[in-house]
Amino acid sequence: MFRRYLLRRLLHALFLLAGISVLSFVLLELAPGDFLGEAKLNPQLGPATVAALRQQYGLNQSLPQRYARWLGSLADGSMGVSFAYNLPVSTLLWPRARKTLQLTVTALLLSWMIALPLGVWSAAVRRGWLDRFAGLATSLLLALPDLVLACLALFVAVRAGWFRSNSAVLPVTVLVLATLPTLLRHVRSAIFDVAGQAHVRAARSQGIAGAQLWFRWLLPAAANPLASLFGLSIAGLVSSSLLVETILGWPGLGPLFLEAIAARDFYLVIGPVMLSAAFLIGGLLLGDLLLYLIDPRIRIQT
Amino acid sequence: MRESSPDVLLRVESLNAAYQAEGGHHRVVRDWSMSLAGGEIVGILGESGAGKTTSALAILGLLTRGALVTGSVCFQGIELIGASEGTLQKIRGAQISLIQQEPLLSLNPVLRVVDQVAEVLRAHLPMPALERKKRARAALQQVGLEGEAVQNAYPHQLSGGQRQRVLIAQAVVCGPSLVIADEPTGALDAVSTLEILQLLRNLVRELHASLILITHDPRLVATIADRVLIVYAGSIVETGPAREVLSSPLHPYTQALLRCRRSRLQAPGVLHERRTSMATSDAPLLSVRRLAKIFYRRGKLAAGPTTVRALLDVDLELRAGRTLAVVGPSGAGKSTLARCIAGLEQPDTGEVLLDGQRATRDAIRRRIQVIFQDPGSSLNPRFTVEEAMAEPLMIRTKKRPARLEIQERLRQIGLPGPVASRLTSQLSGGQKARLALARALAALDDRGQACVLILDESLSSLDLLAQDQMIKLLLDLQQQRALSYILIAHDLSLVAHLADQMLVLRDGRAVESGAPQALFESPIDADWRELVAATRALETGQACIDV
Repeated sequence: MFRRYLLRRLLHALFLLAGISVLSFVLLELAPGDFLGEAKLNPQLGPATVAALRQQYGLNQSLPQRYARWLGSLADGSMGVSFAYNLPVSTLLWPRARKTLQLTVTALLLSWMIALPLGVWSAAVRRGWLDRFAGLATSLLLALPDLVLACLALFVAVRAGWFRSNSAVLPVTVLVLATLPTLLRHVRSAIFDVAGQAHVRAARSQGIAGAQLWFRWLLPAAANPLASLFGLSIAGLVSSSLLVETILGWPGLGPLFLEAIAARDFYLVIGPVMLSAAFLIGGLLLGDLLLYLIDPRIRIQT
Repeated sequence: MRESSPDVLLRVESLNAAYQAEGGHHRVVRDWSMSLAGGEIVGILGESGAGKTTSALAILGLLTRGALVTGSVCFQGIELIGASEGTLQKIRGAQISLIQQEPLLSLNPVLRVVDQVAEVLRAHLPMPALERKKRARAALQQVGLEGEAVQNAYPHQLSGGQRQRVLIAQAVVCGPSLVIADEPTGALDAVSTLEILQLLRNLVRELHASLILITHDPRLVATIADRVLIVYAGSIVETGPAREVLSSPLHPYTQALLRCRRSRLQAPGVLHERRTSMATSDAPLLSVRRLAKIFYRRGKLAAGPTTVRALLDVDLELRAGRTLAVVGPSGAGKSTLARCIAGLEQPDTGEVLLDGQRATRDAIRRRIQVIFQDPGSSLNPRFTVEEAMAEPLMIRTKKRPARLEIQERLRQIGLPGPVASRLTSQLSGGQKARLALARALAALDDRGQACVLILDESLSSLDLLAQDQMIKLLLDLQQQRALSYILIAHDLSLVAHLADQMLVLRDGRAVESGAPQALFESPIDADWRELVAATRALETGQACIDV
């Protein structure tokens, strides 16, 4: 049963990816201009040269033809060719993606490692002044856009002389600060919800308290919404850091993607888009599987 | 009544409990004093909101921080009010156990039941994990849950009766000297109710423990309690030996409660005669032919059967002005039948005929209405009573109803004047039920044709007295408007009281059908026979549950 479910979900994911790729092609085509738009204005390049380039890049072909060729390029793993770099997209994409994942995976793990104990703690001391202070701080961080946060961090780091161009410390800090408040709130409210439930009161009426209450009642029962949230944060691994990378000059996908969009470097745009879509679908699936593993109500039905 | 005998287990003196409310305190428990001897079984009887549950929570120090508790609760020489959390923890579950209402909600959904019992042991008695598990299994065995499959199950896999047994196992596993059971048979049928009462009584006898049974049902008290406290509006109004109080009550509330129970017992014949004398045509108003419905479970991760047969070839006929009762254990297909008749669910095969014709969607909507279980949850809590009343009228007539009409309808249903401007969420259970009834009636557009009202367990969440008022209202309406009722219920005495026809469902099949009298007097189906016997035993208070 489980294997069939997994198979169906994977098949579903494949269809979804195909749909996203078609949509991306159409939307990109609808955007005005192409890679050779500026070349045409260049007096040093004759119309014949431009036409030859167009031929070489395959830009004279119809959209379905180009889509089919792109699908073919998936088979050999190249994912199309970048016009600007004249290299297969994959050779450009993978090293950059690795850099991005270095950043986001570290930030994700750190955020969860901080959010879980901190959220539990703030739920436990509810209505104390510390809890109120934490609430204020998270609201403030939640209200700040990533852009402002990144600029602020950059400003402080440069002023204080901490800035190192190749160090991941600054971008990771910004990413952690950006995701932490959301996670904290969810952890806190998940614990709150569970603490008000009848079975927790029942456990207390049986003299169960302290660590036993936390580890056998509160935390397992609060895990459901958090598992879904974890899936969602996996989903954002490729896309969440694009802006921060660009501002802080981290050589990940962010700067490459932005550059590709500005240059209308068609396949180089499609590449990161598809990668992020794949992470999104995979992350959601992972969240569902986690739920399946931790919740017997989903796992076992009568 | 102050007892100074040395074997007083629990003494409560002027216990008060109040919740913080806007503009002061809302007193829920008023000045309770009682004492409990070792081995005694005491029933606390009263309607919902009378402070029964709050008093139990106050004794164990489990009320929320906003609650104000004063007075004294002395348990084996230890004062519990104001005791430290550490002291209370040692007593809770080990010496005083509380069995909460709503077994499903009171169990941890993600822990196997055997582990949940073991956890209680772990909180109180240090021992190796293996030993703990062994004792947990023994406790489950003691409450009648045998076999690893049941013991290793998760709460959602068990039936209501089984879940209740798990809670009881948790309560007795540490060998307490006092067990407090709060509505332990709330949603159970008569057979399981008797079994649970028997189990509780046997267990407390074995442990030489005392039992406090909190309930709104005088039958349970009559069945097992030695002594009874009657509570009304937060105060203890009457107390004494159970048999004495229940046979010759002094307080008006107790008298009303028992009168209403007795009228249930005598009524079937009377009501039936009254109704048969009413002129109704012989042609059936509603007939259902060979109705079948199968549910498919798709896209589910878990193992298990992929189809559920909810209904299988069910036939029924209902004449105008009559009442049909549909009874059966949960999962028998009662609600599915109701939903199919009301057009909320499409049957796979079979047909629903109104006046001998296949019912159109429009006809169904005009002439068949459903009042669901827990009427309160089908009311928008943000609406005032007036708005809630206007809504079905507006849908039916497509224009804003006159204020006068709304008020008239509310008056008819017993919700007069000032209630109209209140929010529906502020109504009592009985008032919500009446409003739900008024809304269903308003949605009916009879155009001189007879109509059907389906009551899907809509009376079961009400207190006895509120239930009685609803029944009177329903009977009056039936006479005035020639309404037909389909009554879905698990309370057989209620059914016998109201119905002229009965249908017993099990696993989607009709196992018995006919007049209630016949079904009660000569039951054929084995399960049904058992249920009738148990109901009778409960009703007469002569359940032979002594060890």
